[in-house]
Amino acid sequence: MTLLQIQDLKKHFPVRRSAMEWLKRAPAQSVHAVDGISLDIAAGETLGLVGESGCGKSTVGRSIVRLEDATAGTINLNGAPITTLSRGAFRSLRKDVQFVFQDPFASLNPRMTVAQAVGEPLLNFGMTDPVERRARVAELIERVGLRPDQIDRFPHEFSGGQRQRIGIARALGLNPKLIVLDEPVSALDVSVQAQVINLLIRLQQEFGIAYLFIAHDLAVVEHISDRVAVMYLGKIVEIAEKRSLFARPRHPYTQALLSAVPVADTDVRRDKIILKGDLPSPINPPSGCRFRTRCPIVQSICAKEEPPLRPVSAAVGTHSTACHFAE
Amino acid sequence: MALLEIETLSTAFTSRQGEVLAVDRLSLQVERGETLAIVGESGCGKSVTALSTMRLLPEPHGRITGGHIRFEGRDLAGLSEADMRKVRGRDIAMIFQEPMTSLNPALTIQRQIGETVRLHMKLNKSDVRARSLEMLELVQFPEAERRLTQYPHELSGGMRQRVMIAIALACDPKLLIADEPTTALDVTIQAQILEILRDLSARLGMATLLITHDLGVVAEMAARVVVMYAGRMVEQGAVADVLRHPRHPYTVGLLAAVPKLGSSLNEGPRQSLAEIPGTVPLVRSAQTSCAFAPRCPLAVDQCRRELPPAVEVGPSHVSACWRTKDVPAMAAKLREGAL
Repeated sequence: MTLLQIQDLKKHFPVRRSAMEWLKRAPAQSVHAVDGISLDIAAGETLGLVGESGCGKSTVGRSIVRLEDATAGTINLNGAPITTLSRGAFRSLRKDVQFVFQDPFASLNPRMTVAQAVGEPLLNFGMTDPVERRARVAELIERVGLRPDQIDRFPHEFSGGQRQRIGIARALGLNPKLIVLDEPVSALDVSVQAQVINLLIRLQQEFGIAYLFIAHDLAVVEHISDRVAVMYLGKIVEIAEKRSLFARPRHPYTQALLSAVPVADTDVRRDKIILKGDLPSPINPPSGCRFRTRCPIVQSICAKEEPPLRPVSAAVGTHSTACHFAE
Repeated sequence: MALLEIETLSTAFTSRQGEVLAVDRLSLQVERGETLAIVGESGCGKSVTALSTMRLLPEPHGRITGGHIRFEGRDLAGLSEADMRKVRGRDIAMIFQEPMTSLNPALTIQRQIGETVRLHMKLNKSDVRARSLEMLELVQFPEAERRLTQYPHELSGGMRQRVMIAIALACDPKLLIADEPTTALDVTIQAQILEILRDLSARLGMATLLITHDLGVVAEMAARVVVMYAGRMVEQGAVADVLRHPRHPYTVGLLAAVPKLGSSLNEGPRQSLAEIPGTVPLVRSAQTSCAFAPRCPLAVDQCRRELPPAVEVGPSHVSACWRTKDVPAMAAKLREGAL
């Protein structure tokens, strides 16, 4: 069953003009952070969203919880249109979709104890009895692998991994149907990262929550996701069930991305596709296919026509890619 | 004689919470032309080792409290600041993780590359410019000529790191210390930078001390690796040996904690990642027992009482573990998910 449905989502950020540009009547420009993406997430599944910095993956996540207001397009959660609801009407939906940030230190108020931080959403949604709230916080804290006697401590008394657990406990409090996780483990050391990933998988199995897992680390995304979407410069270039994607990536960008990941095994010597140059500016994205400026198999059609995201014929399951030359 | 010989180096920091020993009697060697990687998690002392070698510790809060750092036989630990300045940039150069914070935002690229060259090579103005240009071309900097007059903020992260490498290599150093050189970069840009580093160290015959937390980067770049934990070397050896047949429980744990690319292609259900329980300890004084013991599945009483010495477990493969004989069996169990 489809829980979340994103259709043709766009988010453009206006670029501030300097006084000189304004006087010269330079045209207003905007950063095309997300430029027309569609995807859906089923109840209880994990969709991984990967891409390099600036590809727009975080903006997609932030739009879902209305930390950004979409420029165009629709986002439906269980049939309710998130993007067009008034702030007040959206409030009731907020219970169903929660957010976990990358930096667990920046996202926790340093002057609030764990009990207050984790209890705040509970209070906001009507759990006014302090005794009941405290008991619920203690339960949540235990669920994420911390000790209930730690709930009167402040964030600085915890390590990075523990703080991320607190962030997860806070997101769990209202029994959400979907949690958007924006690079939840990339600030953590590998041994702690494994603890948090295992915790997320356990919680999902227990509560049937769906995840939108946003990350740049392909191995982590492969481990945790059911399906994976790859973004490049505001567009989805490939989306598939993970096995299909990792067994046989079809888009040249996905292929390059996968081949570039260093693997901790000296026996595996793979041929690397090293892309030339940098990500083009999202203010003036290239015409046609956005990847064409770095693509190893570029042809003249790529500059003229934008390839639509379409199903790959030979693939098992759902596997779509946006490339003129993907077979 | 090794190019760089670090012998029982100890480095301490004084903080409000008291003294912290970041590096505890560490010894390692870098041979001429080789790439040695130091790998470990945050707080293991790998960056402090690099800063100690360059004598860039924030004195007096951070200081070398013991040991020697011999570069071509000369002990850097006791060198005066004036003498050390002649070593930095010319004999040993360093690149850092965050190129934006290590470049001067107010100076053009040309000025910043030129600074090192002027200081150490005593070239005249037009030669400085030529050398700067040559260096930028060496790091495959597109449109180098035009960009000489640009400022760091006009460049992307990958381009800034290229400038850093150009500065570092401008005086043909014998040793390059690269501290997490690609950690702040995206994976496709990381691939470009690693290729440049690999290519240049081979072409220039320069030795590299690579500091990283990423075992994948180690596998691609280095011939030998030192694994650090809580300020000490726990395992050392050829990269292939250490990654394929680790002989310290911490190395085994690190390898098993990272998800592998292509893991979904194996048959069977998804395996959960191996966790290393607990967190890295804070070391305050010279260790008298194994610092990994509280997190180690193999720990016995001896580990909690006595400091394990580094013992040879194979050809130039060293492990500092009392139970190193039992580590291969532990690794096998971990792979089967039985631990």
